[in-house]
Amino acid sequence: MNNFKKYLLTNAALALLIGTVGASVVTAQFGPLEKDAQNLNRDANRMAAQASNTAQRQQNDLNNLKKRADNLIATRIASLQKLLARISADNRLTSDEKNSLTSDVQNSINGLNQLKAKIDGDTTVQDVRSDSQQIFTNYRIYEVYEPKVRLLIAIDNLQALSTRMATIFGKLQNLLNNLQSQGKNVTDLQNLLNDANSRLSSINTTLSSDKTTVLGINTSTTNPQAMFVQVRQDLAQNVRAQFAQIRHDIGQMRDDFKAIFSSSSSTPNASATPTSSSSVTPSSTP
Amino acid sequence: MNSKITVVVAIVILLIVASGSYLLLSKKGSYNNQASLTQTVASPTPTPITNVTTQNSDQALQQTDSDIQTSLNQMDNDFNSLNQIDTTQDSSSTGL
Repeated sequence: MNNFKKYLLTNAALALLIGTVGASVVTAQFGPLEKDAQNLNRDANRMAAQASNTAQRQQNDLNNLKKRADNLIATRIASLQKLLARISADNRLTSDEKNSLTSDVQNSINGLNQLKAKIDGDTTVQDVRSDSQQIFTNYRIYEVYEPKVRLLIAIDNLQALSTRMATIFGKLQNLLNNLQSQGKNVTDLQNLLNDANSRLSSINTTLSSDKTTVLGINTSTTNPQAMFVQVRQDLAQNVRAQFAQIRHDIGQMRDDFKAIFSSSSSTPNASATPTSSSSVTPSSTP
Repeated sequence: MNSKITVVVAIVILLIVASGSYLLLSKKGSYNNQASLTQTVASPTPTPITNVTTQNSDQALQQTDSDIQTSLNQMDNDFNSLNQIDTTQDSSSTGL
């Protein structure tokens, strides 16, 4: 019995020893691995957090760029809407001129809206940057488009004025012919009307040439400002000066007509000498 | 049943109030637009003269003179609008 107890105790001690050693061996073997796993897990979490932050930052950058591009487009569309209002409210342009200008401006607005939709749908910063550049390359609203349309409006208005004046001058010519057939001396009036017609013809030539120049300016034009300045100088100096001379002629014609009509019917060949002139000083400020 | 009627009446009242507000706001918008348009182009439409006679020749010439002056003023206004355009906004150095 004692031997059996000893046997049991020895076995128990041996088992304990083996268990302890085994546990130590396992701990020694796998302990570092567990630590490594924890480190790895921590690193992975940190990297995931960093990746998440980077993705968030990129998304923010993307959204900010889109917002800026949208604002740039919105201000340009607002400017074009003002142009549409300017054209629509003009009482002197013909309906054809209005339709042509309106259609042109509306096309640009549509194009900008399409570009906005494209940019809003872009998924990378690079795409937004690339598409946004079109605002400055394909449209150039402030550098090319708006000055171009405003100058065309000004030229069209002056051409419409010229057409109305040509009509009036034609009717004045008929009146002079009638007066001449009645024996009135209309020599001075005829000279004044000829001068006015000649200046009107010169104005038409300038306006036509300037319109061709302006119509030829587009977003690919290298230095549109120089061409705009040239056209503005033409209008502000040459055309204005010619109109000023025509107003001078008109002033003299009014005096001459008064002289003819007030002259006695018994003196049909009374001379129509100009008595005064209107003072019109052309402004040279473009 | 009563609660259903109350809900329907409430919706109808809400629609009436909303329509009234919309109409009021629309009127205000039109007024502003009209003011803006008036500011943009103030030149009147010239009345065409059908025939120039001894009676109306002075009026025709005076009207033509006035027409020229108005058109040149309009040109000046257009030039002022041109001067206000900030072309530097089309420079690509805008942070994009």
